[in-house]
Amino acid sequence: MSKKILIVDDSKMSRIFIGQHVKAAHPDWVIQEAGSGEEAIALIENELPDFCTMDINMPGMLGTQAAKLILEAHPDIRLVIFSANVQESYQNEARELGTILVAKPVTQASVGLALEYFLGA
Amino acid sequence: MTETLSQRHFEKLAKIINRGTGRAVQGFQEIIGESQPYWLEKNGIDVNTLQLNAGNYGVVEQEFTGLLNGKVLVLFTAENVQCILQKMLGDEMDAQGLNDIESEAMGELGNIMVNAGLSAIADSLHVLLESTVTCYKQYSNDTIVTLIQQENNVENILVTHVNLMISGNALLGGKLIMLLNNEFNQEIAEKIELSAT
Repeated sequence: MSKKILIVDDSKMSRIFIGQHVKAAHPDWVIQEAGSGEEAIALIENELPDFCTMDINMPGMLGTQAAKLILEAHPDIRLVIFSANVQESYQNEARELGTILVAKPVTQASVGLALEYFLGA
Repeated sequence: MTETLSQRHFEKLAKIINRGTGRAVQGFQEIIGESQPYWLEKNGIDVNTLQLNAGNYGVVEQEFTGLLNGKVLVLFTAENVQCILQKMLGDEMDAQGLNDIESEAMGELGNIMVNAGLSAIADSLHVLLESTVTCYKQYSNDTIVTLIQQENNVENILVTHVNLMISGNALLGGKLIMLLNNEFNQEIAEKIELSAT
């Protein structure tokens, strides 16, 4: 069944690369993009994705803050934090949110970890 | 009071950063790397001591805050920037397309390398570090030296070479330059002492 994934990252290149790897594994999935946490929250109000990848360091609110708000409002969304900022404190924060932190760079392997988490529900 | 790091502190810090950037560099598909750090006194820097042998560089700047504050630069020669972009984005993209996305792509590459180094420092010393979004520009080697010299309170410069090999091509050398100020030196020395006990 076709799924919908929201990719949240201020780097257009990262959004493109994540999207390419997702499409390669699941050509029928619908991909949405947001360049900030605020934009992601606004998008989700109109259209609920099944899955979401969330960067941390972005203009505006931190990705972890956005993830917290999204998961509080929509606990059924499967979300991973996808960031180069892999400090233990952020890994702990991800765990407290009930999700995981996947380390950049964006590669087939790192996107594969996210997909595994999404589909392991 | 001016704080400078002892050789032992520097070696510990360099080892931590190396571990982080090494992990990030190896994370790139088909990219491997290794690095050999060295440090300089700010007063002694010029294009020769910084080993800026090329005329122009693509420079990613990122600041970090928290218990430790400072600035990090990631440098690649203009020639290597073009090569990295071509390899990252594919042969189909023309020169105009590469120019359009250069700032975006190099900013993200720099962001990954800087954050990997900072994350390693934060975890090793049990502190939290936040970083700003990246800023990418092209500078001449002389301008880079001037920019570093104009930074207030900077005492030491830690330089890490980053060697990228893409698809078996020649090594593409870059540098991660960390500007260490008085407060940073004092805090890092204390944290290193604490972590050793």
